[in-house]
Formats: sequence, structure tokens, C-alpha cells
Amino acid sequence: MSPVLELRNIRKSFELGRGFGSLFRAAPPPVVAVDGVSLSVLPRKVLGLVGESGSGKSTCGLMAMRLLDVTSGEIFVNGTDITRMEPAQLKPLRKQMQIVFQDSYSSLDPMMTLSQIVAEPFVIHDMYTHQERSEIVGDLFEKVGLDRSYRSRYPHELSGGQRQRISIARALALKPKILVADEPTSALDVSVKAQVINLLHDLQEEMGLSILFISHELSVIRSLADEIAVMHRGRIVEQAPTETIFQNAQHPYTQSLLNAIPSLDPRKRSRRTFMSAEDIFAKIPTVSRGDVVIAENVPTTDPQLVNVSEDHKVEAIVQG
Amino acid sequence: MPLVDIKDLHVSFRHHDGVVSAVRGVTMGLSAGESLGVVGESGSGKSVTFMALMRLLQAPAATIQAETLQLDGNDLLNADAKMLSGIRGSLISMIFQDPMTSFDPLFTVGHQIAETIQAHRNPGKKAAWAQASDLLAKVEIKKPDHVLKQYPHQLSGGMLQRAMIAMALSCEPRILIADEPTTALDVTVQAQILQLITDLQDETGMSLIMITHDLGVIAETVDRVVVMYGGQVMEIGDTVRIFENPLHPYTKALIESIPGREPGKRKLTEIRGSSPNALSPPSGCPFHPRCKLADDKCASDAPELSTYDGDRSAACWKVAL
Amino acid sequence: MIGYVVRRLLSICVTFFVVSVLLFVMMHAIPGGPFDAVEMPLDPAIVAKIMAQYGLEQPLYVQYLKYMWGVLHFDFGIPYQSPGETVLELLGRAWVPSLVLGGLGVLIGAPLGIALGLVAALRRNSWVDYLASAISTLGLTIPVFVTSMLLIMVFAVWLNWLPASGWGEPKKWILPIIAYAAIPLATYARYTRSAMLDTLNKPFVTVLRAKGLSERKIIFQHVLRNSAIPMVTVFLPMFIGTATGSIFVEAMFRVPGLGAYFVSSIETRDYPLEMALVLMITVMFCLAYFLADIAYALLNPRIRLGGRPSK
Repeated sequence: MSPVLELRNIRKSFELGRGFGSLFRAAPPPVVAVDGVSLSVLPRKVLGLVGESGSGKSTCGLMAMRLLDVTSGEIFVNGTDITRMEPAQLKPLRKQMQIVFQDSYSSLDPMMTLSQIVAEPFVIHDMYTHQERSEIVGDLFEKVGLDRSYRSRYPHELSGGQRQRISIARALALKPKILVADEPTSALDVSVKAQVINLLHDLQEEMGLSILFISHELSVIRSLADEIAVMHRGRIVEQAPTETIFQNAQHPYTQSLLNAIPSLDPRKRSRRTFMSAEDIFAKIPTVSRGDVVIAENVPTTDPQLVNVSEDHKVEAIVQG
Repeated sequence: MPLVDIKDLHVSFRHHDGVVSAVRGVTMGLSAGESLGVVGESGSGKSVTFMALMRLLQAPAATIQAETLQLDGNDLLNADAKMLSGIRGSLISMIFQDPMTSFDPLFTVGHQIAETIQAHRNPGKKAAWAQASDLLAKVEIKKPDHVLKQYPHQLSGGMLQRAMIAMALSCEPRILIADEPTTALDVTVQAQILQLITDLQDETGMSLIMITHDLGVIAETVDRVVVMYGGQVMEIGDTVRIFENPLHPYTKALIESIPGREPGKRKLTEIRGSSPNALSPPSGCPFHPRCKLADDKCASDAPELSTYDGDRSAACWKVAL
Repeated sequence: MIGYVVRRLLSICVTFFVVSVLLFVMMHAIPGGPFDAVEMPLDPAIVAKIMAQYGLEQPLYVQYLKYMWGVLHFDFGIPYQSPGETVLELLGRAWVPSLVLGGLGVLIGAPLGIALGLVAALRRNSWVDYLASAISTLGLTIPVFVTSMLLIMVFAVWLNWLPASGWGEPKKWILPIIAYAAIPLATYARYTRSAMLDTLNKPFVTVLRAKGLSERKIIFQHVLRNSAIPMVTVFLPMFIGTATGSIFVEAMFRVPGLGAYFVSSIETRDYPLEMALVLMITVMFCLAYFLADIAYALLNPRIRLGGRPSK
């Protein structure tokens, strides 16, 4: 199965400290936010991308949508290289790929009514008559579980969960094939979080969406993703089917993320020990060169992402 | 005598759209050495209850009314400014959600810890800094003397929250209130901070009030739980029993809706609808518009908190044991 | 640090250059010349002679280059309207009353404004707050010549306590300084109030209260200092800006300051004086913002020390 969205060895570095702060110090070296990430989202599958703040996971999402340019690497949508496409060429492709952000409040124009917000993609792409638009918007409202009577309201009149539904409705208006969801549930209350997860679950099945689901919460990803990629300091350190990650994590960083999930059974409370950054580095697994398929010229000092089984990749040090 | 005694607390805020009733008749207590979790969503009144206890809400915007608002026998409702500043930080301390904004950006961490010590005890400046250094070591900060000289923006969130805890404990309070102390932190750091707080509680024998929206935090840290919704207490009980056999439909639904409890890609049990509007809270039980069991009585009459099984209580007409 | 200062100073030079070119061109674009008196036309031959004497018959770029060459040697030329002295001598003479008026106005207005804003922020929504907001709104909206006229009417005409105009003795300074001080007072009251409220709403203030500091200590040690940082950026430019005096206040009270020369040098096409006045203000404003930025950085450890969180 060929992937609908593929990131090939993408990198992003940011220059820092060019501004006023340089008054008192030299500009720091550029920060490498994403350091050679390759990911594939397969048709009708959900790939969960988990990592902590600063891991580069959101930067990956933005680059996948061409909302941020890569420093190097390529991005393919349905096999087409979009890495350096001009905006005019990209526009028709944009219909196929949409993004939903964490902060639904700042991503919705406060001066527009909810139906204007949801219909905006049609205006941008010059689709449908006025009559048709209003019909489709009504259907979209229903699809994301909002009453049609909300159409003439404004974003500030909604709760966080309802605003996130509007963001999702807008993203789905053009019937995209690919959805990037960047922490869509993180700002939501506990009782509403489940609603939005379920909504994405249903929509994915109904519309055959492929989703790149970015989150810092492994437990949220577990209930939605087919496969999980774990990101740490700009690199993928482990990737495997969801339950393999939960049952058989190999990389010490993945283990520390799993270890940090609170148990929901107060009887099983126990004193935990934590790995420091040095511990994690020291515990990176080693594999011998014979056991993995790997290019000849790979250095043996830096950890490499290698296949430990057919669908399980781990960053490891290759020996021998 | 309980260490904290709150009876029939009401808190409202003047808002440009009207009056917001944030807390509506909350009664709860805490005994010495106990750890109490207060769980609820945004707008449940969980933080406001304890901001009111510490009298940190500013008049005239906020109005506090209560039958009793006592801390170790001190009447906080009628306390003057001098009494309050004497109690805060020495008898009861509080740490907050975002350590990055909890420190004054213009002063070093050391200055801010030392000034807390000096506000309550009277050691010299030097002694206060030495104590601050010991405190940082106690919260497992590796180079305490270096960190003391740092400004807040030079430290990570996790480090700052440790320093915040050190500052809160500097005058050996009998109660620590932790208001979402891990929400703004990275996942792996969250677990470490929770562990640190429980360790320190064991070590010092202080009481702990853990305010959180996260049932996972509750399960990991406290002995007893208060579940709040719409400015009212829904249920109070022992942590183990709350998780195993919740009395209130809201508690039950909240536990069931936690994602990732079971393996496999699956739909979650969701609570329909959205949180009540604090400007015009629903009549009767605040949860009734979202409750699967609700009937006419739930919509018209607010249930009182009643005791079941001797040591647990719930405010619901539909409690089935 | 040094690199930054050099860059800023260079940018001031560029601004200076751009302003000088624009001004020079615009001035000469105004129809008419300095010696085209309407009432008493001079003989064309004499005008030509004077023009030649001041080099005004030469191409504009030559005039400009000659002028700038002079500026580099602190020679700003001779004012046409007062040929008995140099431009620098005229400025030195006329600047004193303006400096006294503007300086004292700010020195009196700013502290009062800051105090007013402070009390307003601390007693929010009380009568003091409403009074402060009324004063600052009036101070900013009522034109200064209206205030001046009211002051003259009340204190000079009706009560006859103070002289209505003039400058010589300090008694005559009082009314113009009061009229002048209203502007910084209103501005500072407004900025102080909003800076204070901004700080008071920060979470760390709640933390300071929660750890048992007295309200006095919280305000004077923490809130004031944090509020001062944004204030600095307003304070310095305003201080220097006002030191150049006010055209209206000087006109209303007949203060022999710089103000009158702004108008007269345009009216009479007094090119050297006009250039000198505008360039002086340009440099002062650039320097004021530069100093404000440096002060801002020195006060703020985030900028002074930089650095991102160490894990």
C-alpha cells in the first residue's frame, strides 16, 4: 500500500537571537527542531506522533502541510513531491490535506459567523453556489455533532469542545484525504475530550481519512492510532503498531513515556524511579550489524533507526 | 477538630455579563496529615474554593460567603490583612499550575525563596539563603547554590516547579495546596513532580490538597477524593472506592471517559453535552442535563450531599449501592 | 553589546541623513524664497546679490552638500531673520526658556501623573480611579491652548494672582509650566495605571500573596519594579520630546522660546534655522529611543542575560 502522505528525511533548523536580545550576547547557533524524520501515513490509517514539548512533533505537522518550509528533505502527497511546489500549483492539492490545531479559539476568526467559517474553504476554492454551500455547511454541522441553529453564532459563544468541532468541520469541508491533527484534544476538558476523540474516530471510518495525529498524551493516541511514532529531540526513536509500543517498547525514551502514564488503579500505587537524560542515552539498545538490514556506510557511533522486526523500528547503536 | 473546615461556602464574581456563581454551597474538611484530592473540570469551582480559603480572591470583584471558613481554628472569613499574611506561607502554602509565570521575572530564585523565609521568621539574609539552598537540595535539585542565583527564565519548567515547591515548604506549613501542579509540564516531568510531592508529604507529615482535572493524578497521590461539578460537591470518598465503585453518575462517567484505559483502537464512553454556564447554572442537580439517569426530580430539586456506607457521601437522587 | 550600539548609532546617522535630504528638498519645494518680501519689494539686483552671498543661486545638490559640510563642522549657518548671530547662538539663547518650561513641566507633571496612576491602579474602580481617568482623559483631549486660555482667565484676569504672559521672573513661569505639565501628567497617569494593572494581574502576584508577603512589600518591591520596565520606553522619549518646548504654550504666554522660531522660520523661508531645528529634534528623538531601549534591556534580566532554560 503506497502512503498518502510521506515525509522523507526532513530537517528543520531555526536561526535564533537575531533580534534585540543580541544586545548582550552573541547569537546562538541555529536550533535543529527536526533532524531527519521519515514518516508514512497509509490510506485510511491513523499514525500517532507522540513527543514532549520541543520534540519537533508540531514542526513536522506544519512541514507536512507545507505551512512551514523544510530545511532539507522531501514531502510527498499521493506520490507527488510537494516540497518545493509554488503556491498556485499547491492550491488544488490543499483540498486534499487539512489541519486542525490545539487552540481552537485563536484559529477561528472572531468576526465571522460559524457558517461563514465552515464555508470559507468553498470561497477560497470558488466552489458551489450560495444555495449549495449553505446546504453542505448544514450537513457538516450535523456531521460534527453541532445543532444547525448554531450557524449564525460567533466563536466566542461556544465552549472549547464546540469550537474544536467547528475547526474539524472546516477542515472536513473539502472532503480531504489527509488530516493533520495537532493536539486537537489537549485544551479540552476531560468530559469533552472523549467526545472529540470519538468524533475523529467516526469521521475517519466514514470518510476514509488518513490522519497524522500529533499529541503529547500516549493514552489519547492509544485509543485512536493504528501505529505510533515516538519523537524525541527532533528524531524518531521508535515506531511500531500501537499495541506493540504499549507491550514491547524497546527504546528507553518510549519506556520512560510509558512509565510516566499514571495508573488508574490506586491499589497499584508504587514508588517509581525515573530515568535522567543521561540514563536514557546510556540505555539506547545495541544491535549487531548482521541482524538488521542497513546500509554499509552507516557509522557505528551514532544511533540509527533500524528495523528490529518487520513493523517495529527502534533507534539503536549498530555494532560489528 | 479538623485542620481545614469549610461549611456552605459560596463564591461569586462580578462579571460584565452578570454575576458568576463559581462556588455554590461547598462543604468539606481535612484532618492533619491527610491527603485530599479535589477533581473537577474547568468551571467546577475546585480552584476557586481554595483560593477563597486562602483569601486570595480580590474584593470587590469576588464575594465570599460561608457558614464556616476555618484553618486550624483560625477564622479566615473575618481575618484581617496582617493575620492572613501571617498564616499564608507559614501555616498553609499553595503552588500553582504554571511555574514559568509563578516567579517574579526580575528577581533570582534565591531571592524569592529567601524573602519568603524572611517574611515569616527572622534569620539574617545569609541564613535565609543557606536555608534556601538546603530546601533546593531537598527537592532534588542538583546544584542548589547555582540555581539560587538564576533568574526564572533561565530554568526549565520542571526545575522551576521544584523551586516553587521548595519555596512553598520553606516555612514548614501544615498544609500544602497544589493547584494542577503538573498540568503545564512535560509528561515525564509530571510524574517526577508528583512523586516528589508525595515523598515530601510522607516525610513532613503535612496535609496535602491536590487540585486536578486528571483522575490519573488522583489515583497516584491521594487518600480521599472530592469530586466537584458546576460549583458543587458531587461526591466525597476514599480513593480506592471512588475508582472501584463510584456513587455519583458524574464520577462514573468521568472515569469511563478516560482515554487509553484499555488496549486497542476503540470508541470511548463519552459524556454528552457541555459544562454548565456559570452565569445561569441549571436548576436542580447541575449534572442533570448531561446525566443518563436524570428525571424530572433531578431537574427541579438539587440533591443534598448524603452519607452512604458510613464514610462516603454523594449528592444524587439516583445513588444505587 | 558593542556591535548593537554601533549598529544603532549607524542607524541614527542614516535617519539623520534621510531626514536632512527630505527636509532640504521639501523646504526648497515651497514656492517663494527668503527675500521675496511682498510689502517692500527689494530691487531685483539687490536680491540677486543677497542670493549670491548665501549661495542660493547654486544648484540644489551643491547647496545641500555645502550645508552638510558645514554641519559636519558644527557650522549651521546664519539665520536670515537674525543675521547678527549664528544659528547655534540663536538656538543657545532661545532654547533656555523652552528647556526650563519643558523640563520643569515634565519634572512636575510626570511624578504627579505616576502617583495618580498608581493610586488609581491600587484603588481600582474607586472614586480615585474615576477621578484619575477623568483627569487623564481631559488632559489628553483638551488642546493645550484651551487650558492655557482658561488658566490666564482664572489666575491672571479674574483673580489677578499671576501675570498673564512674559517670562523674565520666575513668577511668570508658573502658569505656562502648569499648562505644559498637564500633558505629561495625563500621559503618565494613564500609562502608570495600565502598567500597574497589567502587573497586578500576573500570576506571580498571587504567588507573592500566597507566600505571605505584606501587600506593601508586594507593591513596592515587586509590582512597581515590573511596571517600571514598560514605562521606561515611554518616559525617556517623552522627557526629551518635551524639552524642546511647546509652540502653543509659548505662543499663548509669549515665552521667548524656540517655539516661535518653528513657525517663523517656515514663514520666512529661513532655511538654515529650519534645518537646524528639525535636525536637532530628529537626533534627540533617535537618542531618546536608543537610550530607552538600552534601559529596557538593562532592567530586564531576560534580555540582559538571555539564555534558554537548561534542563
